[in-house]
Amino acid sequence: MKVESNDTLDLRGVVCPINFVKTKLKLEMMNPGEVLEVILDSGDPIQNVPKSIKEEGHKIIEVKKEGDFFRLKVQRG
Amino acid sequence: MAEMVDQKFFGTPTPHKFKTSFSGCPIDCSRTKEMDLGFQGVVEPVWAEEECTGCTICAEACKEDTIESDADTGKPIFDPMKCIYCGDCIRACPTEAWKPARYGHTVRIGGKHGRHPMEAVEVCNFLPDEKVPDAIRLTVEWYNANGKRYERIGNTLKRVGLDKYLKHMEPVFGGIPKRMTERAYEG
Repeated sequence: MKVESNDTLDLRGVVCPINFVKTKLKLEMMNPGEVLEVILDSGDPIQNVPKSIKEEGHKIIEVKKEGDFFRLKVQRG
Repeated sequence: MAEMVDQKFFGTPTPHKFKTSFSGCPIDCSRTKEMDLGFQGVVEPVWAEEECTGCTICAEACKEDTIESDADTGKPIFDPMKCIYCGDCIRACPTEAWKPARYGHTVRIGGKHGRHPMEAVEVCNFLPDEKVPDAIRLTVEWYNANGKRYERIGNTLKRVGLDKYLKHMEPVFGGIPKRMTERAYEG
């Protein structure tokens, strides 16, 4: 089942913790159940942001690796 | 930990100087490999397939090439021979598929700096917190019984034999379940 996202946030080149902060704020402005596509770099961002977002109460519903970065789909909690 | 050691053991007479340190993880900031007696934190990861979504973030997080992602499912393929028990996979996992099975200390003995540096030897893995004071007490006991004046414990171990020390430490080091690495090696 292909999940469509309501919005996209491209955080390539953004350093920690700014990428987490931007993701958190963007999700807060969305309605519960809506899906945000987040693009994160490899390395620290992908290792830290998903877990932190999950701890905020949201759900990581898809993770796809594309070369040097990852495309995530997050469902707003 | 360090505070407890200071309270219990500071000033204990020994044949020569005796340095101990505690590191939280395998990055080993407090250089337990150079210590007469060093304790370095370790965590054994365990994987719960039901929670895993095949996101591959654990394979990204692992710096030791211990985890590979299955080409079709993305689920982790774990090599217990390479794991250094740092816990990066546990921290990176967004669904808690990777969890801590147990915590403990890797115990290292016989390190020193100075004119003739020696690297400490690993003598125990996953020593639980509550056994640390006894590990120190029995080690100092053995050192006082076997060490020469002005001889660091590393040299005492070389002269007398590590096996004698390990025999003395059986009550503390014995009975600890082996790491995945040793269990895999045994086949």
